[in-house]
Amino acid sequence: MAKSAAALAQRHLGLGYSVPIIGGVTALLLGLIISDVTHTRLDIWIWVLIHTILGAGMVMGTRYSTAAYNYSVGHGKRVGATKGARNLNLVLGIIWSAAVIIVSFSKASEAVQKLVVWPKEVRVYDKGMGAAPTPLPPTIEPITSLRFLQDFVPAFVLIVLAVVGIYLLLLERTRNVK
Amino acid sequence: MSNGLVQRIGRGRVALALPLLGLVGMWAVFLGAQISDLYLQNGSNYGNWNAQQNEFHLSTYLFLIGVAILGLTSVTARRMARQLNTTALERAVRGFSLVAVFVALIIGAVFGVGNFMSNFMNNNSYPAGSGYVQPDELMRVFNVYIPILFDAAIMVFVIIRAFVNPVDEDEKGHESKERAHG
Repeated sequence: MAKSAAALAQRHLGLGYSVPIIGGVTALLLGLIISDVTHTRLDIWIWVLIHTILGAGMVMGTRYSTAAYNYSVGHGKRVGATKGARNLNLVLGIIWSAAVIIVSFSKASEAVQKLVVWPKEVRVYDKGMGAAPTPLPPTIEPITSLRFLQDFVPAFVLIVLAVVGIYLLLLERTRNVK
Repeated sequence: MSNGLVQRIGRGRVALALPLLGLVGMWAVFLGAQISDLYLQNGSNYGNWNAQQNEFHLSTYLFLIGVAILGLTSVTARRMARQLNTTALERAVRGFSLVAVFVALIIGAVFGVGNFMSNFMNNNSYPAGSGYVQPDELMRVFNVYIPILFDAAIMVFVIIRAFVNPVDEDEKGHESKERAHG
């Protein structure tokens, strides 16, 4: 019984180290495959999917490494570098959350800037030479449902993903820890 | 209502969720600020800065509200977490809320300095009849000076609420007794 619990803890430790890496590789390969198949730059929704897979990998990694750590501390047995696995997942989680938050803010800004259409002729000289030009204003396009779904919603989903990810990462990191 | 939520999901989890909700709120307000800024771009791309400067910048105040939302939620979480020390989650939330307060202060400082730098040396006066718009000093007070003052006030409030501990009544009574005894 004790041996099987120790074996389970070792498996958890292994998964704690490997699941974030497996998640990262899966996300990168998925992005590459979609890019190669469609021969286009990745759509923002694909980036949302990539970040979701990365985040899920880190949350699972934190869960497994914390389970191994709890066993190691609770039973006083060394099953491996359990602290290292927890710290690895913590560092990866911090980098991931910072990256997703920055991407979300920049995508929101990009979505707003897409609403602006500048005229080809940007100034009118109507007061003779030497006078200040009268600037022609840009056109601000309305936020249509298509534009909302393509540009604004993914940026919002990214910030929600970051918030949920940080919440789950902290909960998993402290699950049953004495 | 807030007490019911605390009882249902726990004080630690509420303190953890508060700065995160503040972040989402800040994101939404920043988006609104950028949309409102679209209608102020006229003039800025032609070297005619005063045309833009003389309009009321709603976006500056919206950015300020965003900073305030993150600051207030973070400081509330920090004060909630101050009394928590029983579980690992609660100890983690104490650290997290402290980081959230630092992030809010950094964003506030960037906003203040950014507002100063972006409005530095761009209210030039032009000779009469040049065709350029003359600067409006009153609008400059509303667009630049007041937001910087509000930003400083928010930062001072957040720092004091986050880092100055409330004194226990017993301790206060003890101190005054000591002082009375000389």
